[in-house]
Amino acid sequence: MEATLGSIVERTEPADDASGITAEAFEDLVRVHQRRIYRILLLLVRDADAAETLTQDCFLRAYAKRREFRGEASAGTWLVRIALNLARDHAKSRRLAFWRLLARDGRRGDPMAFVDLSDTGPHPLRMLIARERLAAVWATVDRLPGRQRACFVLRFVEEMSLEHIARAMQVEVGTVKSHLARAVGAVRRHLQEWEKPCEDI
Amino acid sequence: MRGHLTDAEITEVLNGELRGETLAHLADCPICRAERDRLRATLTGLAEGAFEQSEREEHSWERQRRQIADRLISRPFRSPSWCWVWAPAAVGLAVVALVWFRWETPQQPLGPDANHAILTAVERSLQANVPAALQPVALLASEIERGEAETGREAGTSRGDQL
Repeated sequence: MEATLGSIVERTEPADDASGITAEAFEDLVRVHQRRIYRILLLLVRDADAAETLTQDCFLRAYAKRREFRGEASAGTWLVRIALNLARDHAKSRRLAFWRLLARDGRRGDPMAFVDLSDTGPHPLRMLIARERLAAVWATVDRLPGRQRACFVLRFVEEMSLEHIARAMQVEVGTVKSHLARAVGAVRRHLQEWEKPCEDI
Repeated sequence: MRGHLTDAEITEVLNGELRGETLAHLADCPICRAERDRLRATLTGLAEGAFEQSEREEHSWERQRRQIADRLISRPFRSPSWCWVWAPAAVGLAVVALVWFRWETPQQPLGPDANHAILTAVERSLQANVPAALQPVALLASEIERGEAETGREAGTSRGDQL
């Protein structure tokens, strides 16, 4: 019989442990949040393999630190905080970002991954331009400083409230607003630049 | 007349934090309205694309859960047990208590016998080899010894008188 995550937790956990997270609860935690954590990590590290590994790390770290979870924030916010720390550590350890950009292969981690040439919608050319524009915006977002990028992703992709983002990033709401304004400013300028050549044509 | 919306103001609009002044400007300014709509459309597109890109088959998520379980078995991520935290603290406390106890133990006051023994030893050493420069010290030591002897004798006499 194949071991489930819950049965593993039961096995590794002493019977008298008062961690507050039962085997079933941990399995549910993973099941409910794995997609979101993976998505956030993918958007932050822009590498599918790294995002996969970091997602696993996130839950393993959550398990290791389960006693630190006091319930002030929701479990989701707590996991996002762990994921953000992992993404930050990953970025720190990845010193050769330039070579990584050069070595990007195919669709994986490529901002152009959103451009699907096989997509034949009603207006393929317009769709292609729109997708290219989005890919270029992602490239702009990728170039933002880590905290601005994290705020941007959490707010506009995950649609987290400013308070939840502040809690996850352990900063003030005002700081989140400031990061968001800068990130939106960068995207705004990029869009303006993008429009210029289109207008020229 | 005010200028167009700043980055902070348009971010507030995107966040749904609408203020009277910003709303009034948006109502009057078609450029800022177009800017807002374009940004909204872009952000919606980004979010949709992100969901699309990160979506995988259900078996991928199952595999991920299995891999987490495997890693949990191979390297159990346990928080440090409290006894391991307290053990060094207990040892530290014991050392501090020992040092404190030794520090606080009162020194035994030197009795007359001890003083006498010290003075005798000093005198002997001085008599054995007294440099010229230390002659006054030798004299002082012999004076102290004589004084001690006299005090002892007087004490004995007074005790005899009392008896």
